[in-house]
Amino acid sequence: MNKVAKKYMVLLAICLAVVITISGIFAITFTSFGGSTDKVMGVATDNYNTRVQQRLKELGYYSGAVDGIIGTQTVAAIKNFQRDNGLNVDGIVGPKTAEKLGLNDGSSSQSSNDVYLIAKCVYAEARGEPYVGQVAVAAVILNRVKSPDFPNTIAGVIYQPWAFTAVNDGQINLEPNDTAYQAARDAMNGWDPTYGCLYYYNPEVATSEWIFTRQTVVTIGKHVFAI
Amino acid sequence: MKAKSILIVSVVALASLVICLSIGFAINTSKMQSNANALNSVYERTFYELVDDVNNIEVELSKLSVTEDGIAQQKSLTKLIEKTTSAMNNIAMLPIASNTLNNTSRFINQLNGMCVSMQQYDMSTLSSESRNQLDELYEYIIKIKNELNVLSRNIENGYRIIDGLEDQGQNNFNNNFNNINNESVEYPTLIYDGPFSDSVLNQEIKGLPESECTQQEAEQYLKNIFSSQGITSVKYLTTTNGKFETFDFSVKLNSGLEYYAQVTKRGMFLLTLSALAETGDSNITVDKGEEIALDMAKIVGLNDMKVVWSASSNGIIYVNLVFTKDNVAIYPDMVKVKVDEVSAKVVGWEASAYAYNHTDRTISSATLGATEARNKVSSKLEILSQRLVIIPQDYLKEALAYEFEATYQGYTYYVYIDAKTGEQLKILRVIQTDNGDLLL
Repeated sequence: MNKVAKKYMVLLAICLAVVITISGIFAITFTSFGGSTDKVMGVATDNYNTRVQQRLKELGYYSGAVDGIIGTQTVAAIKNFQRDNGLNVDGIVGPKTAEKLGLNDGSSSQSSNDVYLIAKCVYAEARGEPYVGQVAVAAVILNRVKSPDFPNTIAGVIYQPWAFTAVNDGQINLEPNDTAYQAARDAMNGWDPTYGCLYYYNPEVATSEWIFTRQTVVTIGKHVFAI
Repeated sequence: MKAKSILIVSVVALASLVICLSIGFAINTSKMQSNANALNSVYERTFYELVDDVNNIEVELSKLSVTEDGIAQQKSLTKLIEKTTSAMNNIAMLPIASNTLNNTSRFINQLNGMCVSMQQYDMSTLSSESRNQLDELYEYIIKIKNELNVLSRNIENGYRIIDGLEDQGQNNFNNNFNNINNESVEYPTLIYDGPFSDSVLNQEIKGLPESECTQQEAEQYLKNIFSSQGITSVKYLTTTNGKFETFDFSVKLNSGLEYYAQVTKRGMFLLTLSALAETGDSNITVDKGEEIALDMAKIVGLNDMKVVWSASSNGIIYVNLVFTKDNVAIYPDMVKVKVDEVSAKVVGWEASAYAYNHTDRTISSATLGATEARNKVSSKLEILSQRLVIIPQDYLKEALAYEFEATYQGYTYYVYIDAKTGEQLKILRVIQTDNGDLLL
């Protein structure tokens, strides 16, 4: 009897060990590949979404709250609208649906995207920094676009591999606040407190030795800006 | 007996847990693997496209060096522009750290700019100078090609680009690009007029006097500027050593507004003011905003400024002022001012264009009459206003032009006609977006 119990105890221990190991591996693989994407999903307070809801409400398709969050109710309203207007019923506001809704900005969307992308990067990289430090981060992105050493588009610069840590850890997907937008717009308008910097780093956490070889231009808040 | 059944139940429960976890794990792994494969395929496609681009650049450059016919040369240049643009796009997508890539991308971008400029200005046939420059660049493209060949072979032998992702680009793949990057190329001095030409990168400061000021003088200068508004404190923060050398201060006003202010060491000039605007209801009109901006310019000592553009967006009025002489608006000498609609205060000032470009120009008179210029504008456009202006041209050049504000199908356009040659230099369209009006 005692022997049998012992046998079971050993089995139990082995099982437990296996469970723990598998869970461990599970956790590691999750973080190493793509795990971070579900950490931060954009909280949609998007201007455009609000306008979509507002418009649908005016047209009598939507009765929920105008909160910028595209939920099931909004999707249903979009689908109904699309059905009534002979559009492809997919619940997504594409260019054609936007046009029917009277929300078409024409070719403007491209430039608005640029401000949005920069604001996202600024918010993710420098949200705790003084305002001018946020403008400086936005200006670095635009200086890179102008520099031959880097990609030639705003998206190209922001999403260049390992260029910004916020892109790697998924913080880029946080929704930017008004300050970040203001900083992005200032930089687009030509403000550059660093006057031509291409790099910045936080000396307390920077791991690349290479970055310390760059010529320092100015320190704003926690960031050192360099050429 | 009871103890035994408890044990059996636990073992069975644990065993099923193990099975469930294993299944979950297997599904998850296969999902991740398929994601990884998809990503690796994108990288490989990008890489192979880059190889094609570089091969094409090499072939085109070598053809160009043995082509005498002008039209054939133009065709080669067009192909080179296309392939260098594509190479630049592809190279930026590969998982390579930017510091192992900067020389290579500079090379490709400058080659691109050189071809564009040769196509625009070397109209008939290429000058011998241009050809020599292209011959020198040819050697470098061969080096890039050779390193890419090594990588191609590695990939053929089963190397996965994605495997290098975990160590932040410090991998084999990166090393080969590092080899390219560290090749000591004898760069021909690139004397061409491209956006990335060295003269544009090292722009000369024309608008500031040579004399230098001290930090104390700069502080006093700021105090004078803001004296009428009531200063709480002016605190020195740091010195910026960028394209301009500036003393940077934090200026606090009694109203609670706090500026980051930059004063140039050379010529003691207010270069930048940055402050966060308040949010709330607008208290002023755009006209009032323009007035506030012009007043600020006067305080800084710029008396002959005129508003050329203003727009209200997200609680801020953006006003662009330019220097005017003999009634001609000189666009290169521009100062941008931001006025907060809530507090009716200046929250931004950016005068680097003015500092770079302002000189005492002698404005030559237009050889083309206003009516003649008007006739050059498309008849579709309904002209609202016109004036004589100096506009910045590409690559730091300037031109005297007629500016026509016009509309067509509800859109506003600005058309610029060269006041000497009658050539249409530029056409801009005003685009309304959520983020304010833009000119494209």
